[in-house]
Amino acid sequence: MTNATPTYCHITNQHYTVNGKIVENTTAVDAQEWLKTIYTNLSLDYPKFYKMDGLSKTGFIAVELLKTAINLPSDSDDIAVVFVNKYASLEADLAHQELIEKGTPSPAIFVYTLPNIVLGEIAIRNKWYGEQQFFIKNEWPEELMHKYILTIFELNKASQIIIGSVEYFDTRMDAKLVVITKEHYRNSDVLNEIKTIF
Amino acid sequence: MIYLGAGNIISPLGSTTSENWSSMLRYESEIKAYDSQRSEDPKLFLSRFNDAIEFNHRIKQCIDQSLLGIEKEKLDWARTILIFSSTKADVEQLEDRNIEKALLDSTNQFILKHFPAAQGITVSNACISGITALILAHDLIATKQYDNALVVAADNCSTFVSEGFKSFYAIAPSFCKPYDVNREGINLGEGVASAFVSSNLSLFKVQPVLLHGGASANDANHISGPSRTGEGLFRATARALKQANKKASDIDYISAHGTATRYNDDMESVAIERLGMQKTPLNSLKGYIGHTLGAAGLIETLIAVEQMKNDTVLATKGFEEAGTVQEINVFSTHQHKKINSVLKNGSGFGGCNAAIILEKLT
Repeated sequence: MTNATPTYCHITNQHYTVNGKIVENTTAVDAQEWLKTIYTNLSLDYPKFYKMDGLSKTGFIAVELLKTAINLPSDSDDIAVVFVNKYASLEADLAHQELIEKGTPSPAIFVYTLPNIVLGEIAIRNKWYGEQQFFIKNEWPEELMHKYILTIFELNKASQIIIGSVEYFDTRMDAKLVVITKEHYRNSDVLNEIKTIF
Repeated sequence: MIYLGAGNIISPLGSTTSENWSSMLRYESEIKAYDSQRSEDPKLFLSRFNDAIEFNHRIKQCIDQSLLGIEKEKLDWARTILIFSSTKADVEQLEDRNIEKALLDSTNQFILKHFPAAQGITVSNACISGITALILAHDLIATKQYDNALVVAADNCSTFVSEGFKSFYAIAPSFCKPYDVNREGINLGEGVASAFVSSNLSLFKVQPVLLHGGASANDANHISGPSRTGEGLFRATARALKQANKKASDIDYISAHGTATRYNDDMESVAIERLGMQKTPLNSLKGYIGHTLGAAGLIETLIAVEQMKNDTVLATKGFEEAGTVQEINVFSTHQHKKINSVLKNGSGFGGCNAAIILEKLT
């Protein structure tokens, strides 16, 4: 079954939306608390979530939100996950830097100083063995991402792509993800639709 | 057809690919013992530059050398993508909380300033970044989105990274010994590499090699430990072979990752066994230049090109006695061998794996 238009979600410090509709608002100021609230609202039972850094929690929750609106099969080689942000893993980087200065670096913090760890967390959760990319750019690289989506489908590297921006830095989070299927890509003016989402 | 050429490497072994290549042929390394941040800690064995050249400046030097290898008037920068590959770029800027300079995108923007007509992006996929940058270059050109890519990869041997790996007990107490029975961990290294990927053969002054592209795959197993079944590496390599329309038996040489940690090297041997490539000659270059993280994939690919051109498979420096779960074809002296097709692979934190296929142009 395929949806006629791409499924998308957006998480900010103020609310989260699925396909443009606000699911819940918050006045909570603490980003970590807010992520935990969404986790609870989604009735998730995945203790690893609590060990993740802010970036991984944000990306993880965003994919779980997508799964409330579209069937993304687990145990798949055919789902590509592609994230973009500006600050990479800066939140974890600063935490690790502070621990170095105190003389107590920790592997549980250090591992998150790589932005692609969030992709690994999502792969583990969903048993997704497919293509993954973490891009860094100070603003959403629209033209290049459109070209990249084209290459993934033209070269048969996946039948679905989860693509978007995932940022978590200095208590500010923002995740905007869209699922594009090969059918969307073939049948509709999907790149224009994505344009309106981003 | 997509070509890879005009490659350059700056490492502590030399400022050109040929200087690096000559040093490796002489079994040389610049890995040395350095004091740890805390004096009571054991010494760190690192492949470090012994000058004070700034991170971005060294990248510019490397690119300038690559530019000498192309017919510049044939390069349309508006049809060229700049792909920068790094894990941590100039992360030591964080010691002074100089956040803007520490950002990966800052380095990309620095490079782009020299080529204003080009578009640019940074890829940061842990230790497979250099390989994923090459795959991206290939794929964008194969689908005619661009005609050329300038791929640049760089990482530094920072206290930030060495303290982190130390906390994982992944650092070797002496010279690293990839695939050896007595291996005890990695030596970190620093380096820069750059190369052009293009669909235009006449762009290159010296004959390039064919870049067949490749694939990445996740282990879907653990964020900091490699899969015991080599799952992602097996899948990435199988997909890369399929993309290149090659069989495992077509590959003459594997430029492998071989970080010299117990788990990584065992995992690689398991994946290679599953792929039926146990007899294929293989090496790790970490004993020459250390683990250069986000630069490793490109540096090692460019040395693979030299091995193809010279029909020589380099020894795995540091390797003496076989010691992986599955037997693999690794050796301690250079071997003369006809090399037409190469598999370059790698694995990294986050459970990521990637592989590309190169072929000699005849």
